[in-house]
Amino acid sequence: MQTTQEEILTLLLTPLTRTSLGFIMLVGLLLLIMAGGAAAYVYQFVNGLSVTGMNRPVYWGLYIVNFVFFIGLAHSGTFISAILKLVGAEWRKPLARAAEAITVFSVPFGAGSILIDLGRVERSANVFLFGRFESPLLWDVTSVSLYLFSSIVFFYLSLLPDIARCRDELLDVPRWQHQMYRILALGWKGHPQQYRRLEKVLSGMTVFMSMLVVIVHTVVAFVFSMTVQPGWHTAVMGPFFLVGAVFSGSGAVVVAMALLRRAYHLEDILTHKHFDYMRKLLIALTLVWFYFIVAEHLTTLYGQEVEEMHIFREKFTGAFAIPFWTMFTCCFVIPLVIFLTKGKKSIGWMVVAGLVINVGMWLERYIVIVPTLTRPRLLSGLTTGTYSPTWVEWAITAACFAGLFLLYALFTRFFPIVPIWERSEEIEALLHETQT
Amino acid sequence: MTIPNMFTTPGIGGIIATAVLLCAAATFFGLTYWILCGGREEEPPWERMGWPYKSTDSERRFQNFGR
Amino acid sequence: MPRWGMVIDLDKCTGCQSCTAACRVENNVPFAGPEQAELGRPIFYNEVLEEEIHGHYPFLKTQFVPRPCFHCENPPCVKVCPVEATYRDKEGVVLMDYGRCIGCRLCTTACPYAVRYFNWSAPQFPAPLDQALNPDVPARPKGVVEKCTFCTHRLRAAQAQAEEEGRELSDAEAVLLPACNQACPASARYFGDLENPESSVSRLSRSHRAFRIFEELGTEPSVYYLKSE
Repeated sequence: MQTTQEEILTLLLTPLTRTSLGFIMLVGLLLLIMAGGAAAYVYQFVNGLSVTGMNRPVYWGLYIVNFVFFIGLAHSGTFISAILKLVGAEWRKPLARAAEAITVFSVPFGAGSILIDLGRVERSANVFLFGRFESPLLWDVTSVSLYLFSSIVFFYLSLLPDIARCRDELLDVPRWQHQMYRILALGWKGHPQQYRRLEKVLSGMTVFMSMLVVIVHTVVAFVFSMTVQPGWHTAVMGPFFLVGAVFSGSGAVVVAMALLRRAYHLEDILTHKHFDYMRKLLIALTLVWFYFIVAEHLTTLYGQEVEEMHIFREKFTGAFAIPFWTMFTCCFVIPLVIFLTKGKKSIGWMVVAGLVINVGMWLERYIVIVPTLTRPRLLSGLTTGTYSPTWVEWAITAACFAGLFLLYALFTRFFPIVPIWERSEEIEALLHETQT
Repeated sequence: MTIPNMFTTPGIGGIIATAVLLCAAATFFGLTYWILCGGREEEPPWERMGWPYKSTDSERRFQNFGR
Repeated sequence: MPRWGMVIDLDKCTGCQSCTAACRVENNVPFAGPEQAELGRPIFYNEVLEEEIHGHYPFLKTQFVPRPCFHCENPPCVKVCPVEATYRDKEGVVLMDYGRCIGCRLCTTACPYAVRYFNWSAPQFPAPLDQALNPDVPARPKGVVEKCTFCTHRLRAAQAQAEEEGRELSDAEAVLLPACNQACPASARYFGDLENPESSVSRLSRSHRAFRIFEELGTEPSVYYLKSE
C-alpha cells in the first residue's frame, strides 16, 4: 500500500503541532540527569580535579574517553549524508537528517568534554592568544571547531526549505513557534533558482565535509599517537579511530532510525529496506574494525617489545581484561551474529546491535586511552597506575549523554526529522533537469 | 631538524586557528546569502555589473540609429 | 652560554631519598597526605625509582635511580604544549609558566619519563609545613602542571651574585647548587655546565660508565647516570 505524498506530509508534520505527555516526561528526566552533571561539575570546579579518579600516571580518564567517543559518534551524520551521497546511494535520503542531527548534537559534547577536563578552564582563551601550531591540541581545536561549524551550517541549509514549509503550512501552532519558523526560514521563497543554488552548495559542502571527517578523526588520534608512549605511538591509530568513528556512528543511526520510526509512525518512510542497507554496511564495518584490532595486536605480540608487552598483557589477561574482552564481544561477536541471523528480519535486533556496538566503542576508547597511561614508558613501582572513575566523572558522562538525547528530542519535536523537500517529486524533477 | 617558526611561536597558532574559522564563517555566510538571493528578477549580467547605460537607454539609441 | 646538566652516580646512591625530601621543602611542593598518596596524587619533582631485585641469592642486585626532570634538549613536552606554558630557556633548563598553563595535561602524557605532575587540588601546607615555605619559589594554583626546575631560582641568584662580583659562576659553586645535590649525604649528585669541558658534569658525562635513560628516543636528556661498577 503506497502512502501518498499527502499522507507522508501529515505523518511528518503532525508531530510538530502537539506535545505528548511522554515527551514532557522524557525531557524532565533528561533535565534532571543534566542537573546532576552540572552539580558535579561545579563541585569539581571548586575543588579541583582531585574529585575525579585521575592521578599520576593516569592523567586522562573518562572525560577524554567521552571526547573521543562523541566526536566519533558525530561522524555518523557526515558519513550518511556526505559520503554516501558521493557514491550515489539514494536510499540514504530519508535517514540523512536524522543522522546529521546526531552529528550536530554530539560534537558540542565532545568539545565540551575537553573543557570539562581542563585544570584551568577559565584560561582556555590562551589557546587562541598563545596557540602553538606545533601542538596536536591546536590541530584538534581548529579541526573540531571547523567541523562543528560546518556541520551546523550544512544541517541548517538542508533544513531550510522544510522550515519554510512549516512556516507556511503549520498554522495551528503557538505563536512563538510560528515566529521561530518565520525567523529561521530566512525568507525562503521556494523559487526554483533558490533550490538550484541550495543543491549546488550542499553538493560542494558534501565534498568538503567528507574530507573534514577524515581530517578531524585522524587529528583526534594524533593527540595520542604523536606522543612516544607505548601502545599509542602507532601509525594505525589515525585510520583505526576513523573506522571506529564511522562504525559507532552508523550503529547510532540505526538506533535513531528505529526510535523515530516508532515515535513518529514513519513505518512507510523508514522501511525494512533501509534497515537492510544499514545491516550490510555495518557487517562491512564490523569486519574492518576486526581487521584493525588484529593488525595492531598481532604486530605488538610478534614484536615482543618490553614496554608494549606490559600493556598488551594488561589488556589481554591483566587489569583491563574484562573491559577489553567485553569491548571485543560488543564490537565484533554480538553484532556480527545479530547481523547474520536475527538482524535480517527484526528491527528490534538491529537496535540491540546498534546499542551494543556503541557500548563496545565507548569501551574501545577507554581501552585505547587508559591502559597506556597506567604503564608509561619509564615503568617502575612508582609509575604503575590504576584508575577508578568517581561519581563526579560518571555523573558528568551521564549528563553528556542526556544532553545529546535532550537536544535530539527537542529538535524532533519542532522540525521534521525526515527531509520533505528532497522527497518532493517536483523538486526532484527540477534538480534532475539542472543536472542534464 | 628545525621546525618553521610558524609552528612553534606562540600566538601564531592562535591566529591560524582564528583565521581558518573566520574564513569558514565568511564563506558560509556568503553562500547562504547567495542561495537566498536566487530567484530575484533575472537581470542581464551587464546591468548587475553596474553598466552605465540602462537597457532603456540603449534601446532608445538603437531605435534612433540610422535616422 | 652555559648548558646546565646533572650527573648522578648510581654506585654512590644509597636510596636514602634525602634528595626527594630536600627538593620538596625547597620548592614548596604541596602536601598530599596518606589518602591522596594512595590515589597517586603526590608531587615529586625528584623521585627515587627502585628497580626490581635481580638475580638469585646470594647474587642479588637492585638499583636506586633518583630521577629529576631530565631537561631534555628535544623535549617532547615542549613540543605538545598548546600555549607555550612550558619552554626551554636559553641555558637548557625546561621551565613552566604557571600563569599560562591551562591544565590540559598533554605534556604530562607526552613525557616518556613521567617527570611531570599536576595540581589536582589547591596546594595545601598544613602546620608546621606552612612555617617552612621558601619565598624565592613562585606559588602555584590548582589545575596547573609543575615539575623540577633544576632549582632555577637558586641558579639565577647565584648567577646574579657572580655577575655583581664581576666573575663567572665557578664549577665548585655549581656542583651542589640544586637542593637535591646539596642534601645528598653520599655526594652522588653533580650539577654544572655541560658546555664547559672542564666542569665536573662534563668530565663525568664522558666517563665510560655514563649513560642516559631512553637515549634511543632522541630526547637528549641533560641528566647522565653513572652505572654501578
